[in-house]
Amino acid sequence: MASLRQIKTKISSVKGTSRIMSAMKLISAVKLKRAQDLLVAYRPYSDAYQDTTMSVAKRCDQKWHPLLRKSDDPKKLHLVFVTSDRGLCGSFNSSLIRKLETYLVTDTKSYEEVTFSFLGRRGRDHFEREGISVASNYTGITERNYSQISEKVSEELIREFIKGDSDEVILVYNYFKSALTQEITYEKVLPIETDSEGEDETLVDYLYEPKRKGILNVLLPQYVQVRVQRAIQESMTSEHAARMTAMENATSNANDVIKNLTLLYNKTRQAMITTELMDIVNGTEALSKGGSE
Amino acid sequence: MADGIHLQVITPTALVIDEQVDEVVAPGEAGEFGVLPGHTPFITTLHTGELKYRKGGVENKLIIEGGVADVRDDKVNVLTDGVKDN
Repeated sequence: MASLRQIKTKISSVKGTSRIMSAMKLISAVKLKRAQDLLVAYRPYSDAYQDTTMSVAKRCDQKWHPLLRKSDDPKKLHLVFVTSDRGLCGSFNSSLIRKLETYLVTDTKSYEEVTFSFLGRRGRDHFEREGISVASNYTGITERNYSQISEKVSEELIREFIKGDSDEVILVYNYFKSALTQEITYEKVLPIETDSEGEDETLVDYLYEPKRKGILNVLLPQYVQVRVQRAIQESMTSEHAARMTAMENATSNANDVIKNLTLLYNKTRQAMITTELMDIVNGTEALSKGGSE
Repeated sequence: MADGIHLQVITPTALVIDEQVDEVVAPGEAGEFGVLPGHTPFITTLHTGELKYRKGGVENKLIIEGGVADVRDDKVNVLTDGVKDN
């Protein structure tokens, strides 16, 4: 049986851990609030941007802009994988990685070449260990710099796509549904295509001002940036939510452990007292017997 | 409301305006343009300038910082980087 001192040390170390975890939970809650506010504010903008771009793309011929070029037989896939930089956020990164790994096995057979970009350290670290080459990689994404980063990323994606180094670009990230649920999402960003090919209503083409080319040159690259930024924001918000939940669970687990250890401590203490008492009683008994004779 | 135009002014940080109006005048790339109900689909980039909209005879103004305006089906979506109240 562990000595009293050992149990006591253990209790205080678990208490320390639990205190750190509940502090991390509070920090995550604050960060979640901030990220969520930014995300909720950004969603209408990015949705409207998407809506406008889709409505333009629907009326456009693929030949009118290189970003609309749809390959009949796509060979080169580029995956942009958004994870977090840090761990301690439950299954946030691991489930995303697992999902992507099955996806790579099952859904990418038709491609000859798959390249990767990573936003966030966790995904990169994992796939680097697997020996997958990393095309580009961004870490240290915060609330302050995500719009610059998404600009850089989208420029890179567009350059590559126009050069023909990729035929399709897919974003993989955690979509923030609520503080308790995040959903792994795949989104095709390039080529820019409309989801409803079927509807055959004759659409009146837009009047473009200035020229159509000019509008497309502004609208389409900006659209890619909006999509990337949206993915980053969704993922960041999800990360804080996931960490908050994970820390919440960890704190309550630690408290359980503390309860059990305290119980053990008290039991041990009582057992010791009993043994000591018995020793004393025995001792006095022996002494008094010896004295009376 | 069947008549009128649905005007939305959206920035990356807020949905500034989301209401039914009678007329919109915006600073387009090639000059100021007005939109009344029944306008043909129209898309333009915007200058920094004054966006005016009229609702029941009252005219409101708003400064917008560039962006894109998308006019279709009696809807005007103004996607801009930022706004300043006048």
